[in-house]
Amino acid sequence: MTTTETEAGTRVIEMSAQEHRDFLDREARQRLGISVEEFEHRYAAGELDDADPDVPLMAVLAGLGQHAEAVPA
Amino acid sequence: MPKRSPRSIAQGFADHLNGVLNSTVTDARLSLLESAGEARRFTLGCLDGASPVAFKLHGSTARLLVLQDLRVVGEHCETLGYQYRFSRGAAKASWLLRWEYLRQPPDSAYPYPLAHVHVNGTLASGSTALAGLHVPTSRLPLELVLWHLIVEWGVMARREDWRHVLAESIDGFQRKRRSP
Repeated sequence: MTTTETEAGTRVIEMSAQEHRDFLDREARQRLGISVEEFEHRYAAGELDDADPDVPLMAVLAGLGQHAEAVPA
Repeated sequence: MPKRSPRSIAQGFADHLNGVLNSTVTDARLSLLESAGEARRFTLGCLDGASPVAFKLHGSTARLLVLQDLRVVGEHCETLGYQYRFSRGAAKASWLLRWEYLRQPPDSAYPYPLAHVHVNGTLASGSTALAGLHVPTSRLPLELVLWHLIVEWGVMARREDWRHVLAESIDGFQRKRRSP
């Protein structure tokens, strides 16, 4: 993971694909108590209650607004 | 003129939104997260390490969590999803309003409007909880949420010309939305 800053002072974090996947897994476990794989499958199956604000947050973080259909069954 | 990289375009958008936020409701900064495994896609939010957190709002104990999932298309950022979570305080359960959007439904049976707002309340006439309702909206610019928080929730604007700052930025959002 590397961190840089733009000239205007915006922090930019760059992760490898594996670092990013590990980060998503930590977030899912801390926020919802499940792995990111379980989150993706249960979210796509409509099994998670999005009255919990961290459910849609994880959907945005995991990029499910663009490729949820790509999650293998 | 040399073509800008997707990263440069995303950074320009993040710099712009930070300018808007710092001119209006907070001195907190949004950060950009890029995964090498997903070209052209970026996550934008107030990040502690890399974890999304809510930031303090000027003159208020309330907080706002901002999280956007972005994809660079051509010379601009396309929004793939967002959550704007307004809370009374730091506790997760203290949220009051959540504006949310996904560009694509998570599955073909998803029954809700892709852009919606949740309200954390209960009907006065009964026990019906409102938090689970997905009240439809259009896809909103963050600036309209900030406007709402200043006008109706007691968040203090950091500058007198905050209306101009937000209106100008909203105009840019609308122009990009109309462009092919």
